[in-house]
Amino acid sequence: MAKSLLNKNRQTTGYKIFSKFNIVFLWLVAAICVLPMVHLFALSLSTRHFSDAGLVTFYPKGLTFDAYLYVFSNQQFFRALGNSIFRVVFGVSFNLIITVLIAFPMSKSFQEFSGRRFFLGLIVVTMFFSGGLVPSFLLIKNLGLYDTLWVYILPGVNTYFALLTMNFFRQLPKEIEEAAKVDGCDYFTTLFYIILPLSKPVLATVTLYAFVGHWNSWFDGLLYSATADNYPLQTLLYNMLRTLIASTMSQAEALERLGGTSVSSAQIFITTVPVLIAYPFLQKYFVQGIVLGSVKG
Amino acid sequence: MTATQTRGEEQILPAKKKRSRNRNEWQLYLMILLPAILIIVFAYIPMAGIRLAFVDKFMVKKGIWGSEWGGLKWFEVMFSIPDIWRIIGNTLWIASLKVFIGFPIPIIISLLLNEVRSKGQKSAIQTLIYLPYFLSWVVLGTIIYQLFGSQGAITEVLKKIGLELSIFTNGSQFVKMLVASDLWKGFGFSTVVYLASLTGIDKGLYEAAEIDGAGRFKQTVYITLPGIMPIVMLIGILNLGNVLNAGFEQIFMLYNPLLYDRAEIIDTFVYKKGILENQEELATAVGLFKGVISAILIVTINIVSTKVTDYRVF
Repeated sequence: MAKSLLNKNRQTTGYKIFSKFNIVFLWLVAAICVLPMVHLFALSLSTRHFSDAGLVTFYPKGLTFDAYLYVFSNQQFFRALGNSIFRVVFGVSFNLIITVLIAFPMSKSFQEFSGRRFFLGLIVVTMFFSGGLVPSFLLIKNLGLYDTLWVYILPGVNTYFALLTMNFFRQLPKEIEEAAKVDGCDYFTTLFYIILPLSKPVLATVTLYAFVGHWNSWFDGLLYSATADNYPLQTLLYNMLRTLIASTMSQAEALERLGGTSVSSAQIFITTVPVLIAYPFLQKYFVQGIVLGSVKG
Repeated sequence: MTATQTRGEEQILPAKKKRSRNRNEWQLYLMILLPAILIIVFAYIPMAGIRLAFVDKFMVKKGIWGSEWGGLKWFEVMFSIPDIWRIIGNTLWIASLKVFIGFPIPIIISLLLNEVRSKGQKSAIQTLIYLPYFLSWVVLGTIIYQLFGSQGAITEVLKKIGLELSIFTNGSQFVKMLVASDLWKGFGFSTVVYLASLTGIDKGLYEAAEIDGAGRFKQTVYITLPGIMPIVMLIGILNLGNVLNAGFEQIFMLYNPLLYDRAEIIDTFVYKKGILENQEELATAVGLFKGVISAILIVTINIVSTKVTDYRVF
């Protein structure tokens, strides 16, 4: 920003007024983004008497951990939580491995890797066009992946990650690889010992994107599971929400069945915890990811 | 020269490199083999499943390829369904609202945030505004329902002022909520990206402009905006290509039969018909129709934007 504007005497009165309104407005915007979570958190720590009656605003009333205890004693919740953890651990690892395996060869020039154009075309076409819901569903059934946990992992080839990582690899100085070749490294060695250690930023970005993607995913759980046993956490919560929205019982009855507002709030809040924990890291790597992705080599 | 030369000499004579440099090319093919197989299985085989849209009657025993060909039968059926035009209309309307309202807001907010002098506050606000982006629609949907449902906290407050909210029963209010909540969820992300891009603008330009007598507003219009144009275009293009998507997860999460007239979109219709009602042929036909139009749209937008702005996504 122009240094002279930091000297308040140089600012016009109009600008000073604007600045004050601006800051207030922006904080308001920020508040709107955060307050619902605060409200949710407060609900989850309040006793039922207050939360069901709608008396809780932004701080707990009748502080209690009952809702959380109830949630953790619920077997179905635990199972779904386990499913989600499984999914995140194996799914993200799988994403990383596959992404690197595509990105590394693709980052070579056509002279070096003659398959480059073919595979690039292969990947790009899938970004424009897909088989659609029904054919994919039938495929999953035919492959025997229906109602298993692997259905969340195996189809997870993400072309955006691949292209992002490919672009990152291409921006690494070529001398490093040349030096490795002179030292007698083959491609596998170069990849593991040289390229990957240098790729921490993009790998972190992919990990975080993949983590959030897997954790928040709920539709595939609904589509590809026959019973609630294989639901990831978000799908279980989806069921809960639909009980509230679309069931034939009154909202009061539905809430009762779910254990009350505190319990449903606690469930939701628990679901957001991993994201909240990863949050400090997210800003740095997410923005980096987009910026990386937009600089096409 | 033969391949028996030493490595050192190969480096000095690049023209001779090709043969030995590709000695390990098989390794690259091996690396990409597994992902390629996965892509073919999970992306291309379903593409072949498009045949289902042209099948006369899908028999599970015969499979997609064994069932008899029916030509364009299901496309005729699709266009004879009375609701189909309403559904397409809903899809376009909702998606367009989201794109056109969602486009300027992050730009404006990032410009406003840019004017904040205090780095600490700027950073804090940024961190807070993209929190909703990382929450799933299940979480947000529940929050929306708890706050704006018939007995929701905010609904109650508004009742006292005399405003009756009926978001989950009134189609038009529902659509407004869809657009607003989608904006709320996503604006932070684009804003932060634009802000990051803003820091890349040459400071000297601002100083020069000030010397020329440009006020802050003019500086914004002539320096800042053009400075972030590339990334704005990138994000804009990506969003436009999405226009037929209209937010399946969000709508599917929150809608109910009362809202079908305004909120049924192509994707929810495909799910209903294909998965719930076992009308696989029809659902695939509709999905194919949408997919083709989407593909045409994306390609067109890419071509147009390349010509107009010199900027390409690929």
